[in-house]
Amino acid sequence: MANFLAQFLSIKNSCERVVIAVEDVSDLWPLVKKGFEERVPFKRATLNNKTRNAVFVDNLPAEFILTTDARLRSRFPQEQLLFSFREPYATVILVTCEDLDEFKTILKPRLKLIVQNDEREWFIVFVSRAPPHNDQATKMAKKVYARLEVDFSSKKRERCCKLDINGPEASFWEDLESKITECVRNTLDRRIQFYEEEIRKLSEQRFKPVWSFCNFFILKESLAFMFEMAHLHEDSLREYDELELCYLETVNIAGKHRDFGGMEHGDDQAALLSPAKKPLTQIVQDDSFREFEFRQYLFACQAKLLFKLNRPFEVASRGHSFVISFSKALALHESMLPFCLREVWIITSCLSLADATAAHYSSGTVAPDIEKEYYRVRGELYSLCRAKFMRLAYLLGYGAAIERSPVNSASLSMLPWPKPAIWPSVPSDASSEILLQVTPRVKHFGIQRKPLPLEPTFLLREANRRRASLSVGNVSEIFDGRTGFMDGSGSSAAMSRTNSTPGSFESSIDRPMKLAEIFVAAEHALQKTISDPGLWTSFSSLDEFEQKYLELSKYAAENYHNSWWKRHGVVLDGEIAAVCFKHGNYDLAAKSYEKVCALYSSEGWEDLLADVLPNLAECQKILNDQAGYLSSCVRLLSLDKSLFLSKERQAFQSEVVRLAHGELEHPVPLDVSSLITFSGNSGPPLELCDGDPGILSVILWSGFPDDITLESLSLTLNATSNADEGVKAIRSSGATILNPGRNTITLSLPPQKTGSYVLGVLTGQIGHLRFRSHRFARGGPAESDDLMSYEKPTRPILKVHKPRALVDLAAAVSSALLMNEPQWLGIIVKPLDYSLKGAVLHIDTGPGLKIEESQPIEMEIYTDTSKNADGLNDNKNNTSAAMERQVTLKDGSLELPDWASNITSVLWVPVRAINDGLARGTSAGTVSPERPSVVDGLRTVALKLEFGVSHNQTFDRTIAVHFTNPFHISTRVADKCSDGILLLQVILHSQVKACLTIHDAWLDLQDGFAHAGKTDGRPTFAFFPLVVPSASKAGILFSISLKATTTEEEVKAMNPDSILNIRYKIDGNRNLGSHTPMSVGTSGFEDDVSQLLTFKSAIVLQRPVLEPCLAVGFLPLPSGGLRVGQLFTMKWRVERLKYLEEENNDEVQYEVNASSEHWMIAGRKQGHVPLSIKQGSRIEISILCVPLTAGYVRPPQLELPNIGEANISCNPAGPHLVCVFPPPLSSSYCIPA
Amino acid sequence: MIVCIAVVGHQNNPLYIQSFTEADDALKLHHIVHCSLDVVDERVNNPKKSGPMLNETFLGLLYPTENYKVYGYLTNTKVKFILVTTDLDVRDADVRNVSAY
Repeated sequence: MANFLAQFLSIKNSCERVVIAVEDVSDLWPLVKKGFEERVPFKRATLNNKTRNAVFVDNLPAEFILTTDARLRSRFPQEQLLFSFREPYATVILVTCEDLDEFKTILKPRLKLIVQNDEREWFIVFVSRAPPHNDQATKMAKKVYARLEVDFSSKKRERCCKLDINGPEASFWEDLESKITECVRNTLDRRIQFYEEEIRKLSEQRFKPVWSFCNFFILKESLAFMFEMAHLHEDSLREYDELELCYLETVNIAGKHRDFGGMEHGDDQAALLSPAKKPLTQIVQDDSFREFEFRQYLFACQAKLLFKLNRPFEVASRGHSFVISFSKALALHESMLPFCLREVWIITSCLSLADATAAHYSSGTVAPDIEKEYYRVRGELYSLCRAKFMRLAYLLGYGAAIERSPVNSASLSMLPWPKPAIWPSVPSDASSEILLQVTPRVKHFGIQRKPLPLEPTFLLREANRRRASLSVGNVSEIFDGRTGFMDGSGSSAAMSRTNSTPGSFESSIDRPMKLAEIFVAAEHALQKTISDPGLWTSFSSLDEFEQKYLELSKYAAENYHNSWWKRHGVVLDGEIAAVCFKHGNYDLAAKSYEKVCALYSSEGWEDLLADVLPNLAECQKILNDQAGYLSSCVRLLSLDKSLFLSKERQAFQSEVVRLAHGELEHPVPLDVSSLITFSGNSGPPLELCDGDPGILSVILWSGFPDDITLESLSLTLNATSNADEGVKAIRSSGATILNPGRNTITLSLPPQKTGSYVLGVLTGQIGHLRFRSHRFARGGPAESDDLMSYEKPTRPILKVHKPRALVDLAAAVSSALLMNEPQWLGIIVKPLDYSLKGAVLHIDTGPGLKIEESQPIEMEIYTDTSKNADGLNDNKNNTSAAMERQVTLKDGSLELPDWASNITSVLWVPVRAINDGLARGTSAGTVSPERPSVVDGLRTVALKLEFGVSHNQTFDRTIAVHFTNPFHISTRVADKCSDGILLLQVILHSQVKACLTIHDAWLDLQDGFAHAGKTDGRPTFAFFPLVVPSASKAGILFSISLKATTTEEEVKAMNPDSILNIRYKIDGNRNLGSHTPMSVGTSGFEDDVSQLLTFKSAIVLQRPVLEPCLAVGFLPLPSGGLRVGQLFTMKWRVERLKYLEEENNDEVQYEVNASSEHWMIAGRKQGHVPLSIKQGSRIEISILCVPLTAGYVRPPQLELPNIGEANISCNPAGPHLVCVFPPPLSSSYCIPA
Repeated sequence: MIVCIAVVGHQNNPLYIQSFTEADDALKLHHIVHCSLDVVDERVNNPKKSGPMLNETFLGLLYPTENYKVYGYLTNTKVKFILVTTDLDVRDADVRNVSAY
């Protein structure tokens, strides 16, 4: 069957469409041909695919061929069977007949003959030529057609249709199309079955020696081709896929040596998309095909179908896989193939795939993920192509022009060298080569790095090893004595194709080739391999190479950018940038480098960033982009220290400093967050009171390798509680020099508002450079200085407390001090968790009080005597010795000593309260309003304390101090002796919280009184000293008598009041209250007169009345008791006891007082009643009363206004309260409104 | 031969990279590891494509080229283990065993 291959191929090439045979029985074809051919391609056909599922096929192409045509007549039956794909799929029988008899006798037998072959799918088209107005002819045509239907159609299948040429028959064409489609479908099904059966049979013989892949291929491809003709591309593709699988299995059978192919001229150009590039008959070999061509052919067929299916993305992805797998196959046969054919083939295949898919692809028609995958594969294709292109360029000596970047190194250094059987030698006419000189590029900042390798092994060694005539000997001989190349440092110079001694090529067969010779030899060999002049042009010069290199890099990057693989795209942008840089297109280079740097920097790949960033910096420097350049320098400095030598890092810093101090025209803002970081001190935050300034200590980490001077530095504080508060910058005064690593700086902090603050932004200036840093360093031990945290610290660095009381001033003693005597006024100064260092107290005494300036002010630690009474003295002795100080008052203010800054202290100020009035005594037993008011002794002291760090805090307080006399005096006549001597009891009430000792007391009597006896008004001396403890009373009796006669002079000379003089000592503690005035020495003897104080008090004496002239008696109330509403009479009896001449009145005025709430009174409430002047005369005063309220109520009182109380004797005395019962239940009474 | 092992953090930041080459060319391995993150990202972001790999932490062969292979392993915390090998005939199961350690 292999003989059929050529025939099969010619048949296949001549056959394009589905054939429909036309059996023109009645010579009607010329009449209907136009109408028939207008119907093709059939708009919508329903066919069955290989799995018998209905498939809609749009625009099925078909060709009508008459059965009398030569193309259908001259075929042998075997051919018809084998190549049945080209046989008609339907037979249309065109007939007409106008006479029934003619039909029966002539046409019908003929038709029977035609349709007897069951293999064919047929149907009859009856063409009616009857004119529409001729009813007779029309009827006859109908009859004939009816007869035709009866004879040829069956219930199962309708095989007839009628075309009325002269009448409108729109439905005919649809009918025709459906009938043709039905026939095609049936034929297709049958033929698929046939081919399948054949293929199955052949497959069963697969492992028999007679089996031929060619036959299998013919059957398989026939089926595939038939599907393709029927537009069942999916099925066709599947057949090719199966064919490929089968082929690969046969190829991989070991032991059978086959010719691989690829040795012909032009084979270096991939034929992935042109199935007809090489006729299959040329590649047939031992009942099979050469792998090199046939695999490409199969892929081309698949690609063609995929393009027809509008799936260019699948072509790309299948193509990429195919290139990779085919590349492996090429590698297996590399020794047989022309030099570098594998690389050239990959380049051309990738480019052709990329171009073809791009031509067929329209964006946005597929799902996004498929589109992304499509671009990814295209990127891969370009990337692969680029790698191979670079490899070839390297072999030709363009290695020095290839950037030794990580991406290129990764692509090339792991890619093995070509493995030809024999490395090409230098041809004899090689002396005319172009000399290529590339100057090695020096990196900016003087960075010296060992360049990354582009070579898997040394090319020199590899090439010489593969030369047939040479065994590798001395390495130094191979490397031409250049040891620099061994370590890679001198590689760029060695890469050049400088060939200064062309004559030496002649003897190259005997000695190792030099590198330049290898390049030249490779060039000659490649020129033979590469058949595409366009590709060869790309290697013709450095410019051409770079142009192609740039183009491939751009395409690859562009496609990667459209895919998921952004990193690949950005990295290739870096390669484009390198070329742009080389050609002076710094703007583009900088943009691309920025993208690469941003990628590496965002993900923290510092090693890679350190490789690219110097390039970006160089671009920026050339472009005079000062801000960018500075930023790059800062980023370089902030990279890991191990990535650069300290010398290089110093170069970065010197660039920053140079620009900052010299060349910057305008201030440039710069973010140095990665280089200068800061944090607060570890430990609790600085706490300040409201309104206080402070000093903030901040730790700065400098990433500069050397010291750097910051002209200014400021730091913002952010309030944590209130975002609207805004930021407050605090500045450091003067320049700051930062050492490398940790620095602690202090900043003076002005008063801040209440709240807690965290560190915000650090700003400052280096020369003209304004820098900012947002980054916080984590406070920690010294070894983790460079450890930086990305997180913002939440720990506040400063807390400003809410306004609160910082100090308290209070009077130390609440009890009264002695009036008119110098006394210690205690002022407690109590700091409330706040230092009073340097505080100044202003003291302003109010009226009636003055500071005794003769005495110094004392200060001591305050001890709460009320709580610690027992240990008072001990504590005081122990602690006050060191602390007690005398402070001086200057212009009403004094400065507190330092020792009192943080402890509660008491300030003793000597004061004297002045009261010019004389104390007055009162009568005992009466609650007299004349008793001295507390207000009289009250004095005020206004205090103002200025404190705080800069005296920014003030505290005002006015304290009240109570002063009093030592005694309050009250008197009463204790008794009257029969001899007229009155015993006057003087009661001394102690007013102070101190023990008073009376040493002497005497009474200067007023007019009308005289001391009884011959005394001087002093009590017996034996009484004294009389001790009066605190809050107690003492009494002294004076015996006085009424003085009978008084002269006018005596009246004038004597005082209107009696004066009580008391000489006393006070023994008190200033911590408790009144005490010995400080002017009185305490060191003297007890009885020292000078220690005694004098107190004077006026006493009013009245002559006593001992014989009342009237007696008022309250007469008893009714015995039945009083009831509410019950009238009763209240009676008093007035009796004259003695008649006073000065009154000279025989009437008595009376007045009854009663509460109107309790009593209703009838009768005269006041008036005069006659009372005889005789002693013993009496009279009754009565009044009617009605009690209004029940209970114990005060009864009405009788008063005699004209007569003093002393002259009235109440006997019997009236009751204070009387009991009034509630009213009886039945009675009614009136209540005043 | 395994030429590089890398541990990459969940933000695609390198945590640890160890290369096993004699030449001073670790940077190219950094590049390979970095670029292979594209594949990890793609797999993580397109679980549909991964299909049965969805629930597996071993990502398998990430990055087949002619010259080297990159394998990936993704932990639950999105930390990636990347392995670069120049052995082209590596069985998946063997690399899986490496990942298991």
